[in-house]
Amino acid sequence: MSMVTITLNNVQCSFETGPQETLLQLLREKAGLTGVKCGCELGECGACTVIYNGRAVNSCCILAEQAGGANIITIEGIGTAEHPHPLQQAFIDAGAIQCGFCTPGMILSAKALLDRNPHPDEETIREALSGNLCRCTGYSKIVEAVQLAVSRMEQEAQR
Amino acid sequence: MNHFPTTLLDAQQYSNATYVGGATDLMPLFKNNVRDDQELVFLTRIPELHGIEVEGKRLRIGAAVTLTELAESPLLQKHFPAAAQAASVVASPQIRNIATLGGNIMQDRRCIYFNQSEGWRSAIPLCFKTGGKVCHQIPNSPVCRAIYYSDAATALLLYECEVSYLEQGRTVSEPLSSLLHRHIEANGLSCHEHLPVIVTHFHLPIPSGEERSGFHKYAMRTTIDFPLINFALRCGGERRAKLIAGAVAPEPVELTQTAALLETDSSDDDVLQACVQELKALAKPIKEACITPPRKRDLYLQLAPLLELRRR
Repeated sequence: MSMVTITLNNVQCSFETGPQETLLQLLREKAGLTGVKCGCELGECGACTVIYNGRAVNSCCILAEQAGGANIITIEGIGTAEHPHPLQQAFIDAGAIQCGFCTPGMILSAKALLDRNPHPDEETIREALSGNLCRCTGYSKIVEAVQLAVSRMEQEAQR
Repeated sequence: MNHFPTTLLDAQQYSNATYVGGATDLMPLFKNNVRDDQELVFLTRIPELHGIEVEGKRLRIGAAVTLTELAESPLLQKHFPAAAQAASVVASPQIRNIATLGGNIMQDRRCIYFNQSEGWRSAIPLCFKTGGKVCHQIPNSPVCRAIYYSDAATALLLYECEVSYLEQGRTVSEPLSSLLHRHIEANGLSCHEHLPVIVTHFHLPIPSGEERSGFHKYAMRTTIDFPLINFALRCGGERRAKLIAGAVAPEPVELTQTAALLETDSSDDDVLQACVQELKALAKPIKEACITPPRKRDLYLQLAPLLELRRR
């Protein structure tokens, strides 16, 4: 076992970890952040997406030790039930959630995009979300939700 | 045990090391118990393996550069568009943000008979890759016939890429095609057999003149599936026209006869037919997910979108 230190949702944390433990396992089982979903565990579905040093990544394909020193944001770190992130509110308002399993990953992929490109076109949004699978919505509502969040954030910025 | 050296000197100190970049390609293999490498040496914390820089008349790319960095590089987009395009369509954005160029080039080949769960594999005898003595694709083959699916390799080979690597304390520079050939031969049988090299840099001679180039990948589900076929093509410059096809054999193949037609008056149909005929001779199709060898041969016509480059 070894110790790994990461900045998790803006708080520095240390965890004991084994050589084969994934970042996904550490986040869910040791940090208790179950908003990070465990889907395929093969890097295909995107349910385990987190923001890692500013980029969306599959936490199932990163070893916990590998993440040492990284800055990691999970869905728990971007908003609360009382004060949701504009993307979270837009997903609710646009009806972009059905079973909800893919939603944290979708929102974090979208957030990683908007942090770098606040005014993406539809093609760019679809490309940014292409690593996140949704078996319920058919994607249209999700893309609309991201566009809704973009327009609300633009309006907010102009105030 | 995982190691995170910060210098190349430190990286060479481990015995039985498996050198990795982002390790995204290995994680599914670990989970399926296809591989159980014990000493992973991550190379991504070594500063000199990062960066994309002009070095005289060549572009030098660090092996630990991520595929996202490659795809977004203005230098690559300007001088080597096929390489930038290839990097932009590997797997999903999440994978590209972690996966490195070195790792993509040194990835293992794939086959539906061993890229499976342990339970699935338990129903058939072990194949070469998993410690057995047979290739289920071609039972009389003396080696594994799995296909090499790298998109980046197809594009880099288009540009006469040279690669630098460390092997037993010695720095070697040679054409990427040579390293790839050794890599494929070295793990021609078991997954555990691989070249003990640390790939450090890739060098691409910057083309002069009006050379045009591009990359095309065809896959069933582009962010999940590996390519069913990919092509990289260049023409119109001072160098001879060149055409590389990937995901058709244990290593990418150069289509010299087809390339010779690219800058002639031959019609696109003639070029496509030449491509089909040449690939029939060079490709080594196997059974793949979603596709049989006869259907795979139909995909040799996927060169078509790149032929637009002949007219620009």
